[in-house]
Amino acid sequence: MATTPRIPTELLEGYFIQMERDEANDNPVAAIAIPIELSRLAGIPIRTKRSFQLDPVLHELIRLYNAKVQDCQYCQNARQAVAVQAGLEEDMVTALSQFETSSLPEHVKAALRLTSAISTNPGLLSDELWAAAGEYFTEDELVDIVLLSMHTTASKVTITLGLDPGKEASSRLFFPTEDVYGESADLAEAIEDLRRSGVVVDGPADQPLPVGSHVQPVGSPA
Amino acid sequence: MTRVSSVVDAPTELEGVWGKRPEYFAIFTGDYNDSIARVDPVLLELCRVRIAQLVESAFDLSLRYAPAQQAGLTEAKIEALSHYPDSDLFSEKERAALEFTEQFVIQSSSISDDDVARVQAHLTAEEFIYLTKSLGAMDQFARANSAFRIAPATAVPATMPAFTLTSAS
Repeated sequence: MATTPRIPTELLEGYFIQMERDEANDNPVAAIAIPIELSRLAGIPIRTKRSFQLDPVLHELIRLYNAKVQDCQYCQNARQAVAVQAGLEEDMVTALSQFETSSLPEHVKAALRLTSAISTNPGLLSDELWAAAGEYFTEDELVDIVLLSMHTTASKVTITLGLDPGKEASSRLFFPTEDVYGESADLAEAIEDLRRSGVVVDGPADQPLPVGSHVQPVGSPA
Repeated sequence: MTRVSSVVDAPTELEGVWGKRPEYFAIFTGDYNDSIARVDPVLLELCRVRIAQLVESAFDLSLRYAPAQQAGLTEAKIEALSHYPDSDLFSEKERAALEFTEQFVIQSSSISDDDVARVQAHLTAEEFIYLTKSLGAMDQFARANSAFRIAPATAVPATMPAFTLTSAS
């Protein structure tokens, strides 16, 4: 793991792990960064019109599993407030490293077996594993699981170049209205739908919520 | 043939599977094509084929990067890839890049500063950045294609205009 840049700092001005894609920007930093449009479609557990359509808790567990496998400090210390409100608990995150022997639900284990194969050697993704996951998921969901498992290996570039922003930059709950996701009409619409259904979409104005904080959707039993 | 049965109607299997998420496919592919175009084509193609071998993507193995062929990359050299450390067909720079590629594919977090220095000795700072980014894009693409079991191409997908079919396919 490297959190010290392996490239000259003058080439790094303006870099963040995910950035808006800009055809006019031919700088090395724009070439390295994960296009933020891909994060909006795949990297956050918010179902927009065009995004992946996975359950938010499953989505976050797949993302965090790969974050651990790739050893991305930034990725593995961030939590999505939407997933927390959908039932993500810290003991589930802890269980990821030994998921086979954990008490995680069987459908989560079936998905993580696909993720594990894809991030290590996808040649090991057997027809049996695929069929077993198909007991719990539609084929469209299986496709999203494959693409999400692939998507969350994008941090390999950042890590290799020594540009992992580190856990100090991420150890908190992230809310969907934050600037980090940029702007898109689809995301704005999905956020309004979440808001109407009682999901808390705005973080506290004063200070961030630490990992492990509970957030209850409005109107849900405490 | 792909293990995904509910593909969308499209000219190739690749587009049929990835086309189930067309917006993601379009942006990912744009990033992929932009990224590989920034690297020396022969070096790029050697690394791309090595990745496809390691993650067992029959689809990626069935294509060739046309700019690399135009720059003189031969099939004999591609066939020698599996034993590149002992083959005199490869330059020191190519060997260093291939070793770095293998480490990147297998476990990028275990790449040490010394490993980086070995490949950087042959590249400018910008070349190193662009090579690493293209390894990321090619590794991701080949992993998904392998997981989907996308078959060797029988036609070049419109999303991959810089590629041709191998002479074997």
